[in-house]
Order: sequence, then structure tokens, then C-alpha cells
Amino acid sequence: MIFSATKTFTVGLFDLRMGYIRDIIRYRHFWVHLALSDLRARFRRSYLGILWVALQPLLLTLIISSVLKFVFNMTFTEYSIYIFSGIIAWDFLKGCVDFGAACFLTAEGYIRQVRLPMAIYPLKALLYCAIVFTMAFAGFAIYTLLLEPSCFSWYWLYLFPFFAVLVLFGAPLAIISAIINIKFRDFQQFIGLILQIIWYMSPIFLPRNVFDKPMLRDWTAINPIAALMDIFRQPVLDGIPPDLRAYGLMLVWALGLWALSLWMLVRNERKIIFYY
Amino acid sequence: MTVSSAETYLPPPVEERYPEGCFVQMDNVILRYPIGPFVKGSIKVGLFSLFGHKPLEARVRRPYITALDGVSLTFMRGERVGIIGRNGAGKSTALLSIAGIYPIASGGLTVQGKIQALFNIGLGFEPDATGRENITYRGLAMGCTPEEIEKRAEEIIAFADIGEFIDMPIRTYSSGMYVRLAFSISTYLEGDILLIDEVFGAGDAAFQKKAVERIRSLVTTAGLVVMVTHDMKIINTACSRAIWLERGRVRMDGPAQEVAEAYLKDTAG
Repeated sequence: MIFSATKTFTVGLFDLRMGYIRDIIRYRHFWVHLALSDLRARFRRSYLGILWVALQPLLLTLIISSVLKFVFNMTFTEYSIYIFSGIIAWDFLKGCVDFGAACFLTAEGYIRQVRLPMAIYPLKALLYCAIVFTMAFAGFAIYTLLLEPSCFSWYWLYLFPFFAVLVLFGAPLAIISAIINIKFRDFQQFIGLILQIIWYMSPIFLPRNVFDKPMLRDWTAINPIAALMDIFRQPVLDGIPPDLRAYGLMLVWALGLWALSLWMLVRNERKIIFYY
Repeated sequence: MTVSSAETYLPPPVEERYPEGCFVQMDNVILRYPIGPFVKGSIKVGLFSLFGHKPLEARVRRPYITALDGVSLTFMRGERVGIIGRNGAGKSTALLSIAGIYPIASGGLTVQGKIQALFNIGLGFEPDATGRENITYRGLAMGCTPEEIEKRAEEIIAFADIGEFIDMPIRTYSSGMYVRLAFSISTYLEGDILLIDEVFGAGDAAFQKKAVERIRSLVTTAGLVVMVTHDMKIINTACSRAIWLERGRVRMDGPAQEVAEAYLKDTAG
């Protein structure tokens, strides 16, 4: 019963608010609604609506695969599955950064009106990206099973820990991106270029073996995107259990990003309002 | 409950719903609004400073504006408080700090009770969603569950009285309709403490009258109302107590009519 709840809070110099996480959970209806409303807004008045979530990476995959088939004479089917998987996982991470960067700005109306934990806005962005990813993944799974049924195996169960790692890695990205962008609006413009560089330097659409060449080997060994793609593709495409070293690397990255994001959140939680 | 029962200055008996009562206590509150972020926060400024261009922050004396300068006030349950003062006196800032939106630099601020705020109209509305959907959004932002909002929705719509517009996107609304809906949502999604910032201007006379009635009846059932307005007529009819702020300090605090009169005399002279 929330109507009758009386809440006491003291705002002062050393304002350590208890129950931050409890509030995030208490207001779950709110941020879940925001994520769904963003989704509705994106596909308002479009004929194919939410189908675009799967259609867009599929079409992009077909374009890239066709080009590479003509230029490098690669086998189309197998390679298109490789690209499709790369694109949807990448889109999730890019979404976390992009929607994270925008989340405080679009929520200005709420932030100026009610005091809620600031973390719910990046969380909303994360949820939005997770929903989009889930649908895109459904599209990917159908595409793979139709074109290459032999890919399917019990190893697909390894996807569950992969999903967990994806969220664990994406969440702090959204928080960090949100806080940097509210303070330095240049971030939004600038990060697009950085992401573009990472996109080229990670095994998303270029074949995996390119990244094991001497010039790129050291980078690939620490590149979280490469590790993420490996633990996604190994069970699905290669039919082998995922590389534990890649999991280890992902966990190190995720822990580091979480530590950074929480530190930034604690420092900036109450200051965000002054940056509008 | 009748309007006349709220006329008395004594707070009505505490109901079971609010066993502890609700109150706002500000104890020597100082609030500084930093000017820094706006100048510091861009790479452009950083680049210019490399070439000896001093950012604005270095040129102005202080990096902040003291918006509230040692304000001590206590609002108890059952009060209808009006805050008046010239532009920039810190009226809205006071409300925003009570709502917990602005952090205070020093002093103590204790708020007990659930806050229901009605600040800038339009803020907190999703322009592409319908009025009905916006009732849900705002309710959820206030911490209500969808079922609770569902229960209240009809009352809200009835009070807002904007006819078929309730099912149209908010961007098609007139400013008067904005106010009607926002006011209606904020007063029907019950909170203990209602904060209202200068929103009556856009409503027509009939709505203003209705809103004043609503505020008076609210205090008898809910708790505490604090509002900022420049309209002395509203102060006189809706409020029991008025605070006159000047340059972030309390200049006068007392019965609404007296304070309003003194303020008007001061501004005229």
C-alpha cells in the first residue's frame, strides 16, 4: 500500500539516502512503463512496427554478406549468421551507450518534478535495449534454424550465461554514458566516432581470424567486444562450449565498469539537476 | 467535509491514515545554485582557456548563487501556505528543495509525508501520449501502482473536465487544459504534502475557483499545501498562512491577508 506510506527523509550535508535499491524496485512500474513507451514511440505509425527490430539487423546482415561474398568470395549462409550474431550483440551495447547518454535529457520532465533514484533512467535505457535485443535474437534464431539447422545443439544453453554477461556489461555502460553526457554534452557527438572505431576493430562483421593477426592480437586479447562475440558464437556457430578465458575477461571488464559507474553515480546523484 | 471547517487555523485532528502526521521543517537552510556547471561543462571552454580566454566562472565573483540564505520554517499538517515575493526571491527554489529535487548546501531539512508536486506545467507530460496515458505515467512516477491509478483515473478525468481531449495526445492541448489535467492529477493522486508552483495563471476563472475550493478541501483530508503564486487573490482565498521571501530570506511570516497586504504596500511604494 503505497498511498498511505509516510516517508521520512532528511536532506543535509551528508546525505546518504537509505533504501536506494529499495526505491528502484518500488518504482519499477514507472521505469518499465517508460521503456515500453519509448518502444511504442519508436514504432508509432509504422506498418511493420516492432518487426523492424529484427528486420533491421537482418537486412544489414544481408547487405554486408552480399558485399563480402562478391568481393572476397565468402560462403554466404555461414558468414551471414556470423554477421547477424555480431550485429545484434553490438546493437545492444551501442544502444546502452546511446540511450544511456540520452536518458537524463529525455527524462528532464520527471527529474524536475519528482525525486527518484537517478539510476532508474539508465536502467530504463538498459531495459529498452534488452527488449530490442531479445526480439532481434528471436529473429536471429529463426534465421539460423532455417538456413543452417545443423547449428542447433544443446550448447545453445550456454547462451543464458552469455545473456547475463551482456546485461552485466551493458548496465554500467548506460550509467557511465548517462552521467558523462549530462555534464559534457559533447560526449554524445564524440562517442559515435569512438564506437565506429571499436566496431571496425572488433570481430563484428570481419572474419574472426583477422583479429588474431600479429598486429591486432594484443588488442583482441583485451578487447571485451571480441570476448563477448566469442562466448556468443562459439556455442551457436562452432558448436563448442564457450572459452572460459573470454568469460574471465568479461567479468574483469564488467567489475571494473561497475565500480566506475557506481562511483560516478554516488558522486553525481544529487548534482545532475544542476546540469540542465 | 465542508469548506468552512478548514477555515480555522487549528490543524484538523490527525486521521488514522497519517498517524504520525506530516510536516516540513527547514532549519537554517542554505541552498547554493552552482553557476559552474554551465561554463565548466564544455570542451569548447576548455580549449579556449588554453589560449588564455578566461571562462565566465573565473570572471564572476562567486561560482554560485545563494538561492536560499538561512531559511528556517516549519509547516505543519493542515496548513495552506502561500509563498510570495519578487522574481528571483527563492520561492520556487524553496519548493524544489522541499521536494528533494535541489540538494541543500547546509542546514537541515526534514520532510515527513508523501510529496505530491505540481511544478512547471507541461514538464512531466509525454507530448505524444494521450491525457489518459499521462495520468498513468505521472501516477507511476509518484510511486502509485497501476491498480491504484486505475481506481483514481475517473475522478481525475471528471475534475479536469476537458471532455474528449482526454483521449487525445497532450500536444493538442491548450495551456488551460494542461493546467486542468496536471492540477487534477496532482490533487487526486493523494499525497500528504502538495507543492504547487505558479500554475493557476493559465486556467480560466471558473477553473481557478474550482481549484481553490479543491485546495481548501484537500487540507481537511490530506495534509499540507504549500504554493507559490503572484496572485494575491489566491493567497487571500486559498491560504491560511503566507511567507514573504526576499533575496533568499524570510522577510515576513504570518496570516495570509496580513502578509499579502504588507507585500502589496511594499511593492507599490
